[in-house]
Amino acid sequence: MAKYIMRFSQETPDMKDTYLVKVINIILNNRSIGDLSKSGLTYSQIANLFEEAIEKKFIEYDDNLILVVTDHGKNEYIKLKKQLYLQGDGDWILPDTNPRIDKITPLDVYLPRRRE
Amino acid sequence: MKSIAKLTPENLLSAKQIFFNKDWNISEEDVFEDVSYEIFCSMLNFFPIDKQKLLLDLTSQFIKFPTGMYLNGYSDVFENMELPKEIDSFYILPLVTEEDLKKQKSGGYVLYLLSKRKSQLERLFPWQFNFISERIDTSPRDLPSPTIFNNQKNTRIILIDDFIGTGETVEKAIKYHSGKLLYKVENIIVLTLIAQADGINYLRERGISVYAHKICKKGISDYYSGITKSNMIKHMEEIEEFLNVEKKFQFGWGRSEALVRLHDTPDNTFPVYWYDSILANGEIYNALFTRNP
Repeated sequence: MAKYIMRFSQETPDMKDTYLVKVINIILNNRSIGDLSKSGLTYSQIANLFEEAIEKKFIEYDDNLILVVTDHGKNEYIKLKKQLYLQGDGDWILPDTNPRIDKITPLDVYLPRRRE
Repeated sequence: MKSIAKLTPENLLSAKQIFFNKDWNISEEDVFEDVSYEIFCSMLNFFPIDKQKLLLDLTSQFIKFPTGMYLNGYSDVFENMELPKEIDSFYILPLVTEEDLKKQKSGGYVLYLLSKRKSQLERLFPWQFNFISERIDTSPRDLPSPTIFNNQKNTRIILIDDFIGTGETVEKAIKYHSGKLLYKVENIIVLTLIAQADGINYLRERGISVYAHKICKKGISDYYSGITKSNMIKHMEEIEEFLNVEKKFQFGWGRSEALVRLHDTPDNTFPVYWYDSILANGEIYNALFTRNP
């Protein structure tokens, strides 16, 4: 029987680290949480990720109550990026993992999300 | 204003802090839950950062008064009423105007809740409570006629509701009970849980006796001052333009600038909190405290 593939049905073991890299990347670069909400996370899950990053001292509030990345966070960011992604000229861009799915056979039925 | 994802991490966390401080539910998604963090964040996401800040400020002032707190709220009002010593009983009626007699109004709902706690109220207070649920379009069965009632010094009529905005509806209800049904204004008391300060002043200036559990000021006009105030007014005008809010509801009915949610949301509350809308680009704006008129 064909198996139905739904996106994000399985969390890969490095999913948590992938999110953490995204959290630090958001603070370092575009400052919009749109990237994470597009991955299918709820706002409360995204808020939890930022809180976790604060708790682990990767990010902190500055005097103007703006979130900034700590030195510890920057080191962790570089380390995790090396572990998770290929390096090169475009290493400041994080790969978009959203369209990725597990490998399927020709008999499997793939159901894309409705808006796609 | 274009609706692209704009919610900043700082505002996402400020929103969570507000929910935490107010003891509003964050994680559970219950369709009948009164308030939702997800809806609030997606609501913020429609607006640029300066407007997100205004909405966060207003939401920290926001009062959500759930039905479970109604009895305690009313009991607090009864406790703080200043009345002549000879009063020993009340006739409690829902606050309705003549044209609303046949409609379901919040006053009727409140009356039902209180009538089911009659014996507890009578144990707590030195008064006899008579609940008149029948709408008095002719002469109600259990309420003495005006000629008898107006000569009794030991009793009062209480018109009850959960919210007073501009005070105009109360004034109409009083006119109906005193002008048409001939009960004397000085024998009528108006009782509510929450009221806007302007509404209370409007009624007291007209000699109407009114009591509230909580009196609220205007969300923007009485909260900010100087240049910040005019900036915030401009932000709200732009928000309402974006949501296509009807003129009569701008800044809430009667420009009340209320920040209140009771069993339902009064239309005096800023529409950004209750005005579900289809935007110019076809997107749907879901408000935090959708109103069910």
